[in-house]
Amino acid sequence: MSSFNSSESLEDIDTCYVTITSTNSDTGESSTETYYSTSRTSDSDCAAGRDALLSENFMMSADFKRSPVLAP
Amino acid sequence: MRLFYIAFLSFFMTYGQKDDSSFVLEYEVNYQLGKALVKEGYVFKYEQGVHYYTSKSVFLEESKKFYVDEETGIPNINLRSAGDGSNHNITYLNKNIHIGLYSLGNQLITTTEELILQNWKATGEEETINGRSCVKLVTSYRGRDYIAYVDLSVPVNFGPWKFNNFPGLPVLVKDTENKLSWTLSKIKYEDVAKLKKFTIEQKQYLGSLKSIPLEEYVDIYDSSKGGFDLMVSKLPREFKRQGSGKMKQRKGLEIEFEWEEKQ
Repeated sequence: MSSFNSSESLEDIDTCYVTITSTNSDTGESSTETYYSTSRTSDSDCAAGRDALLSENFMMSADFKRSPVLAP
Repeated sequence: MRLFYIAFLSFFMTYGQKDDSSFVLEYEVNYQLGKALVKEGYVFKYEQGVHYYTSKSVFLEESKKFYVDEETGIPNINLRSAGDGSNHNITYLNKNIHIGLYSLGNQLITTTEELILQNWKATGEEETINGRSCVKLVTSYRGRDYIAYVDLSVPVNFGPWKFNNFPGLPVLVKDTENKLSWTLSKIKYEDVAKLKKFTIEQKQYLGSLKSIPLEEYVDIYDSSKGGFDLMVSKLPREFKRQGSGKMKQRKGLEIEFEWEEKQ
């Protein structure tokens, strides 16, 4: 995490974040939301969870929670 | 006057018929409802049905499935709803029924609705669009205001998507916020046999999908934030939502419906 806005607290810094942008294939409507996990503390564990989300293996990434704080 | 009407009606019914071929209107379709896209739309009439279909969506900006935001350092994953963006609609003019296709989360569904005849009003303005002399007409439809430039010399009363009841050929239809546009790019002739085969395949395709009334679709659309919640519906219960999770406003082609009370 290289930069954060003022609405975030210091305890967020060690949190593992990922954003998911969903787009409607037909209309182009789009929505972006941020998920976080407080249990994935190491970089490698965070990356593994991200990879699970990327492969749409949501069962392996169950500890990511939705966060409205960072959502644009 | 009556003779003129009969002659006009006769011309209208036979326009575009070249023995065993019939015309297909081809449009460039542009949507800017989030991620801008373009596709080709095709519409033609066969017997009592107006058949509309589009090519797949081509997004104007490439979005990688995975990238890291340079500013925040947060990785981003892009997901797309079901389908490739191609769309199919059938309007049965004799029954006033419209069948539409929607990409909603992880599935494609069809809806059935009563066709709303649009009331296009003349503005008195004229403009040449793509080399055709057109009159400017306006109407409102499901929360958006539309402008249509229509060539009155060509007796066509249908258009792309759900547009209908034109007094001539719709050369350009767009909304007043410039988020949606359908621009006529070509009129081509196809064998009637080929069109008939397409209509059979289109009906079979739409018939193979889950079908719900339009009102039910709108309820699901609203409760799933435009279907986006359905795209991550496989998430287990550990995925807890923070905040209300409610959609602030609709962002699709249709943003108000006739059965809803005006806000």
